[in-house]
Order: sequence, then C-alpha cells, then structure tokens
Amino acid sequence: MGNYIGKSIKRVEDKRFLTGKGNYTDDIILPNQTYAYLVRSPYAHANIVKLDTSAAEKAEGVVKIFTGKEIAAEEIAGVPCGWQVDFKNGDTMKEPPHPLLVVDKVKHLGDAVAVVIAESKSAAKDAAELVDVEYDVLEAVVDPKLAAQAGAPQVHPDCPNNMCFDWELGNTKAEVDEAMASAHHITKLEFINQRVIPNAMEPRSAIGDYQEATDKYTLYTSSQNPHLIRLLMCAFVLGLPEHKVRVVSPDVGGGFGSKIFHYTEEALVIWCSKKIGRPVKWTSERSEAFLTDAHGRDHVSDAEMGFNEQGEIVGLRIKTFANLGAYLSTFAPAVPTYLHGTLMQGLYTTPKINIDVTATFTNTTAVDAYRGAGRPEATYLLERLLDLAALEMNVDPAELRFKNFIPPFDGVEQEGYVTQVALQYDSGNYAGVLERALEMVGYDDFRAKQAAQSNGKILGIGFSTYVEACGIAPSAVVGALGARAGLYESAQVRVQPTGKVSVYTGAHSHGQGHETTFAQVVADRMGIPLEDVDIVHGDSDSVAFGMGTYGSRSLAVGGSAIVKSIDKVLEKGAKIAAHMLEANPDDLDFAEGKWTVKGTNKSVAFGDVSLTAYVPHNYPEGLEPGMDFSSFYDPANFTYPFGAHIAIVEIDKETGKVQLKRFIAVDDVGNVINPMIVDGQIHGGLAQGIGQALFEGAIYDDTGQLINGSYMDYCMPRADDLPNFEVDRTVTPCPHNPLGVKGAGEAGCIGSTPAVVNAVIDALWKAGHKVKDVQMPLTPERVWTAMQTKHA
Amino acid sequence: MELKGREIFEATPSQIWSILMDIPTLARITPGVSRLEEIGDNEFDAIADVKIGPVRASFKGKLNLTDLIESKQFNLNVKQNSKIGNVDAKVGLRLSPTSATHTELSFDGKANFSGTLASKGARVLSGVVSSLSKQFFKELAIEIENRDFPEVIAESDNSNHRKHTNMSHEININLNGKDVSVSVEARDLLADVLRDKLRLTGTHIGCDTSSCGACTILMDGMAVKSCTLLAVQADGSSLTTVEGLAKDGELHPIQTGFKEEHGLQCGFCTPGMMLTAIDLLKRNSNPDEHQIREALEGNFCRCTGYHNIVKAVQHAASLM
Repeated sequence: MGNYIGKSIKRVEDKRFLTGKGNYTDDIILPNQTYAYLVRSPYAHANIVKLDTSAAEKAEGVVKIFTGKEIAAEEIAGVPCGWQVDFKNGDTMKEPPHPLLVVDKVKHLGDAVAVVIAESKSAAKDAAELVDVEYDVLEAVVDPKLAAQAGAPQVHPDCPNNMCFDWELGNTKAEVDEAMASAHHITKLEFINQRVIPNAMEPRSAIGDYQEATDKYTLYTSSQNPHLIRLLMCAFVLGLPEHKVRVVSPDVGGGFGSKIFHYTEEALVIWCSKKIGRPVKWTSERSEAFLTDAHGRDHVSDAEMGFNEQGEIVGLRIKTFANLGAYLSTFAPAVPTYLHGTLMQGLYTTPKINIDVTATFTNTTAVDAYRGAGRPEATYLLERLLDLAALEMNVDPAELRFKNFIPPFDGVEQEGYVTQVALQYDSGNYAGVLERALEMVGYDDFRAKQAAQSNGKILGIGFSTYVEACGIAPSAVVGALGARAGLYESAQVRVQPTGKVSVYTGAHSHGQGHETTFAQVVADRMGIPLEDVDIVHGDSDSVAFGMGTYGSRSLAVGGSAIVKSIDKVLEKGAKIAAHMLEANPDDLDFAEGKWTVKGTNKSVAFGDVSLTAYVPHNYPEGLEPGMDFSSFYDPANFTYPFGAHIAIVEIDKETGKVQLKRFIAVDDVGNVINPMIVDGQIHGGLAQGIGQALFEGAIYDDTGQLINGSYMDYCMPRADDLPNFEVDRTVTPCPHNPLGVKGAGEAGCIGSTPAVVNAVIDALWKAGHKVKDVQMPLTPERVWTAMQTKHA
Repeated sequence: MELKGREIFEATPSQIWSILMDIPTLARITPGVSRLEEIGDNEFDAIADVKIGPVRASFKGKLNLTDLIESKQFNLNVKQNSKIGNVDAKVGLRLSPTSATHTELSFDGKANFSGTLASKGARVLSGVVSSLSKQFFKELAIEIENRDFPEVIAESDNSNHRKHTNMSHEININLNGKDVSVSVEARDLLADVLRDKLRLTGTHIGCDTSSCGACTILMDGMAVKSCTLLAVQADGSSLTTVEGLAKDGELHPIQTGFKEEHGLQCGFCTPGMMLTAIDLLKRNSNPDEHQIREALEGNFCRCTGYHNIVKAVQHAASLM
C-alpha cells in the first residue's frame, strides 16, 4: 500500500471541466424537448383570488399550461419531509403539505402557482407574463421568534403559533439552573445567526423525460443524491414504480447542501413530461434560485455560559428559535436539533448543558442544511461566548480554552468521550490543534503589535475551536432520532476481465474530487495503477443504490463501502490465485498487485487472476466465475473532526471597514487520502464561513419581500475580499472506519465564522469600545456604529 | 418607499386642475403611460412602460382618485402589476397658490413594491421615481405654456407600445478559429446562442445580473460577459470560448495552471475564470497576488475560496 494514498494526486476529473466538456444538467438538450417556466408569487403571503391562463395559452409557442388544480385533482400530496422530530409532549411535528403548485394560498415569495411549457425558453417566459393572477395580500411573518408569538400571522391553518415542534436535549433545566446559580461569572448574549443563501454557482436544473413506449421515466437533476430523490419522488410524491424510474445527476456545479433536497420542480417536470408526452426542462434563473433554493441558518438564540472562579465552565443554557421557512424541506427538522443541540458540548468538559429549541414556520423560503448544517450555528454560540467571557473576565481566550478542553483520547486505548448531549466523540486531541495554530500566528508577537498599533487602524484577534459530527451516519442511531431513511452507503467494485476496475459509488461528487480520491484508495488497495480505476457515480441505472453526498460523509461512509467490496474482491482473488499457484490461500501474500506464495518468488498478478475469473477453464471447484462485489457500509458512529481557527482583522476607524488580514486554520480530519483536495475543501469552507461573518445575509422586509435577491444586492465574497489562507492539520485517525478518515467538507465553514466576529469584538474592546456583539454580516456601517459608543 | 416632490408653475390652481383632470392630456404628459381609460367614477385602467435600470417593464392595473377637492387636492391610489413585480402606491397631490400667477404642486406618499422590483430594483427605484417626477413636471410646464392653443390636443401616441421583435438575423463570427454563421433573434443573448444554438456548453450561465462571470468569453481578445451582449452585437467579431483554449490536445497554460494548483472544484465557474485570467495575463504578464485578486473580482467561485485560483494564475504566468 502507498503509491497513492496520502499524496496530492492531480484530479482525474479536471480535464473535462478545463476544456468545457463538463456535462451539467442544463447542457443537455433531449430530442423534442420543451421548456418550462414557473409563474411564481410576487407576494409572501396571499390568497389566490383568480388564476386565468387563457391569454397565455394562446401565446405563440405554448405547448401546455398547468396549475395546481390539475395536480390536486390527481391527489398528488407534494414533497415529503425526511426527518421527524417530535414535540416535547410526544406529539408528531406539524407537517403541512408542500404542493408542487399552489392552489389556494401562497406562503412565501416565489411560491409557484402555474407552469408554462413551451417550445423555447423565451416563449415560455413570454407566455408566463400573460398568466393573470390576482392575489389578496395577507400580513406576513418572517422572524422565527415573532412567528411564535400570539397574534402573529398564521402561515398554515393547522399549525397553531406557527409551531412545527419544540424540543429539548441534555441535562434538565433544574440541573443547569443549579449549576448556573453556583457560577462565579455568567456570560450572556442574544445571538442572531442570520439567514444565508447557499448560492452554488450552477443554478438548479431538472429535465423530465417519460417514454410511453417503454413506460420508463428519466429525471436529470442537479442533485447531491439522485437515489434519494428517486425514492422520495416515487414512493411519496408521484407514486411511480421505482424500477421504471432512472435518476441521473450528471456534473453538478456545487451544492453546499442546497442540492440535497427533493424539490417540487423535480417531480413537476416528470409529471408534466408524462402529461404532454415530451421531455420538459426547467432551469432556475439566479433570481429564482434566491427565492427557491433552500436557505441556511436563521436562528435566534439566547445563550448563557457559567464559569467558576478558576475559569472552568460549569453550565450552559441555550434557547433557540429556528426559522424553518414556509414549508418543511427534506432534512430541515434535523438541522436545529440533532445537528445543533448535540454539538453544545463543544470540545469542553462542560458538566451541565440544556438546549431548548422552538422551530417555527414563517412566510419565507424553506431553510435546510447549508454547509455545516447546525454545527456552524452551535459553534458560533459556543465560541462567541468563550471569547466574550475571556474579555469580560480579563483572561486570555486561548488559556480559557486550554483550561476547559476535554483531554486527548484516541478511541482505542482511551474510550470515546460521552457528551451531555447524546453523542460519543470518537477521538480527539483538542489542545494539539490550538497549540499549532498559536505557533503559526505568532501569538505573543501579535499581542505586542496590537498594543502598539496607532495608524488609524485597530487590530483584533479572534479564536474558534470546534468539534463537529459528520460522516453521517449510523442508520439505527439516526433512525431513533427521527431520520426516515438509513444513512449507510453502497459500493460496487467490478473487476473487468482485463484487470481494469469500475467502481460504482452511491456518493455523488459535485466538486469534491471523488473520481480522484476514491481511485487512490482503490488503486492502492488493489496494487494497480490509478489509470486502471474508473469511478462511476450519479446515475441510478448504473449505481445500484446510494444515499448521496452531504454531511462530509463521502469518504468516511462511501469510501468505507468501497473498501468492503475491495476486501471481497481480494478474498475471492486469493482463492483463484491459490488455485493457479497450487497453494493454500492462507499461504499467500497480496502486495503490489500480485499474490505471492509466502517465502517463494512464485506469484500471479491481479490481471491474470481477474482474467481467470472470467475465463474459468482451470478454476477452483465450486467457485462462481466473475469478479464483481457490492457492499453496504453502515457506520458505527459519526466521525468527529475538530480544529482551531484564528482570524486577525484590521478595522479602519474612519469607515468601520473590516479587513481580514490573516486566517489560520488547523484542522484535524483524521487520515488524509489527498492533501491537495482536503486543503481545497478547507479553503472553500473558510470562504463561506467568512462570507457569513463579513458579507452575506438574506434580508426580508416585514412584508416578506427578499430585498437583496440578486448578486447586485447579496454580497458574495469575491477574490479581493479574502486573504490567502494559512492552513495546516494534525492527524488523529478515526478509530471506527477502515480508512481512519473523518470528513473535511464542512470543517472550514463550521470553525471560521465566530473566529472573524471574535476578532472584530476583540479589536473594538482593545480600542475601548466594549460592545458585546455586532450583528453579522459585519458591514462597515455596523462596525462604525459600534465604534461611536464609548463603553465603560 | 417615500414619495415626495414639489414644483412651482406659472398658472393658477384651477388651470393646473383642468389639465390634471383632462384624461387624454394627463395620459400624454405622464411619462411612460400609453393608455389611460376611465372605467368608472374616478377609476382608470392604465398601462405604463417604465424603464427601471436596464429593464423596460410594462405595468398594467388600476388607478383611482379619492378625496377630490377641486383646484386643491386629490389622493391617487395606484395598483399596478408587471412581470417584474407589483407597485402599490398612495400619493396625495396638493395645489396651493404661491402668488396670483404661480401655483405650487406638491405630492407626498408611499409606494410599496413586490417581486423582482423589490429584490433587485430597490437600489435604482428612487432614482427612477425622481426622474419620472421631474419629467412629469417638465411636461406639465410645457403643457401650461401650450394651453394658449387649446385645440392642440389629440389622440395619445401609442408608438412606444412594446412590439415583438422575434425577427431573425444572420450573424457571422469567427468562433475558436472557425468561421460560423448562425441565425439569431434580435433579443437572443450571446451566451444563450453559444450554448443552445452552437452547442458550446462550456460557457455557463450562473446569474441574470452580469455579476458572476461564469459566461465570460474572449471577444476580439478581450474578456466579456457573454450574457451581457446580444448575439447580434457579436456579428463580425472573433470569439474564443473555453472549448477553443486547448490546441491539438495540448492544454493552454491557464488550463495547466488550474489543474496543477487545484484551481477548480465543481468546474462551473472555471471557464469564465480562466478566460478572465487570460485577459489579465495579456495586459500584465507577471501579476502579483493583489492584482490577480482585483482582476478576478467580477468572477464568483463558491468552491475554492479563490486561494488556489490565485496560485493557478501565477502558475500559468510562469508558463506563458
């Protein structure tokens, strides 16, 4: 083993992207294809008084127009939710229907009311303009906390106080109250973790193609998990025979969570294609993406952390209101609960923790998992509280963390750490990452420089140390927590007669580089050249089953499934090799692609064995021909990457503009297969986390209008907004999967946001402005305003 | 949005009142209004074409006048719908004499916008409203002067009504070294024509505001956003798309740079990013980090955090 694993192999998928030969959904034009355009509500909350399509139907190029009535007439339920969280009293959460097209009342800006299908994109768009919709506008509610108050506008008729569920985890409130009563110091803050919009660069797209002659349905969709889309669409939305449905997610231009979910448009194009007997394509425009891609974050929390005289954390109390938007997206209920509440232990020995969550519906776009999903929100609360506590108690923020870290444990010699909030961490060495980060930043020098700064700029340093739960997830555990699906992964390793290997994985790559990383694992384990391995993903006709890519799970879960299949291949290969070498399988060694009889130079190569498997003329008795194995891997636990991030900012006193001067990230994601790709994942995560801190945030006005729904108004981080990142890692292997890997996709996004905000608060305090909080994004105006008040 | 304005005219309140209450005249002098039809007591159906930023939108809906006090004031309620969003406005107009010969016309009110208008137009709307009111005041002043010739009032001019212009045009371009002619509609964007008609799908469309740069190509050697150009504007020019970068199976140095430095993940922004970088390297063969970041600020990448893209451009510079 060892030609490829651990090396920065250049990506095998790059060539097609570099030469413009990628194949994204909107690049596909099927014969006889039509184009769909959706008529969407310009109001956040309104009754539909009149919907007249007669003028539009007569427009040039129009093939057909459907409204919600036609769909409702077939009793199509709408898209389902994949995760159930129960109320504290045991009642099932409220699950209002999410129809493909609205019939009576629109509930958020962009809710679709009709679909126009035409011969061209422009004809569909022109005709959509002629659809006459009259609305009776209702009062809207957009804030998750206000939504729960008496008298708030009701989004759904059967969800009193707009409640979807309430939920609690950890120690009892009484236990935490007692711990807090004994505290020497309590740091307390109301946090708004603002709504952000994922903004994958490829807008969502879907093509439905029903072929009557074969009774087969094909859905091309820009999804992170085609098999799950197929399952949900067939079983819960349209009632289609799953074996007659193929779902293809070809090249997908980024996801960050927003392409996990089953969207109404996917079922709609399939349904329409069957109705009109032609393929139907829908591609989102960016303005539409702003209104209809599931958003992220949007929590309002009250958080309190208590410390004893020695600076040790004695208790933590959190109350969170989570905005779910107007409808329940596929995994929405899991985000503020099992991906958020369970993280409140952080890397600390906090003895008593209670988190209470109220999740509400509002007249806004649905909120679901966005890079990190719940863990960034949890990390934001913990790490902001810690740095603020350090300022308030006048102790060093790094020292405060060292004092509270859980001691190192490897999950083998030392048991995993059992938290107060339902998890058992697998392995960790938390002091190690912070020590390395402090070394990189030159901490003592920085503090000296900060004290001496006097050029109209003020300097600040912010810390964030995090642990997260990814490698999602053990099926039985998540099943007990409300998941309505298993979260294993499947892999098929098919050795071709000539010894070339095709690997079919249920994971889906939309930027992560699976075609390279997975091939490195396969090539090393089989002792064959990387070029002899082909990784196939994203097509339900070739890949038997899969749960897709999200929650930094592809390598930890999908990679482990591949390893299981490789083990089966090698076990069978040994039997064939033993027969060919006239030896006992137990007497063989497998290395560098050949089986050798121990202590001899008698060997047979992998290619000869695979050929023999398919041409079994001289073959072990009773052994089946062929060399093709499938496996399912269900992880034993989540994996728990951790890290330490440090931000250094410089603030212009005149303008309040924050310049991010340095960003140091030391992450421990377990073993690393391809360091180049892992670093790339960290960089991207950092940019998104920093984006939330400094630039991004969806702004709804009181009527539910998204007033920054375009790139002219929503501030995406640009090349000149960000510094070069200084990244490094430590390696603490995952003890419970065969590769020892943890997951790197979300780490950067989880750790970085609070580091940046902490740095700004630090700068302000050091300059005499003792503000506890500045609301993200930290725009110049907000930071300047904070500097206008002298605080004691 | 608050609406507010005032202007002094050389006329008496009742003279101005007579103009405001004369529907054909009002329709003619109000900017953008192509139809104003009385459908009830002080209730009108209106169509107006208004240019908001780069967008021309046709508004349709109802107007009604309430609380009329002759030669003094009325309230105007506007409910207008368009494909880019709806307007709901309430404006009070008042006439007050400032002298025997002069009158001040002032208005004060509030407009609520929804849909795209609210999300994208907000920044430009106040500018549009102020220019529309200026234009209206100007037309009103002219009308007051012209009132010496009362017979000069006629049908309102409907010529600015939107026409369908889906006539096709033949354009000739040199595309990645080959001469190509293609028939396009006048309104077709170059990005759409490249993708859908010429089937070069490496040019991507990532937004609708010319912000993201995924559609960047080279036009006569200069990086342009092909979603911002009409295809007819490319007639006679030389275009390079991502498909034209590699020659005889050899990657262009910028492609090599992106591969070697892991400057791409999902690949969606990559073609536009590379073509923008080529434009930079042509102007500056050895850019520093800051210059690269500035040159790429019109191209969004959501995957890489730009870190490795900067390295990729530096790598390419060292090869070129």
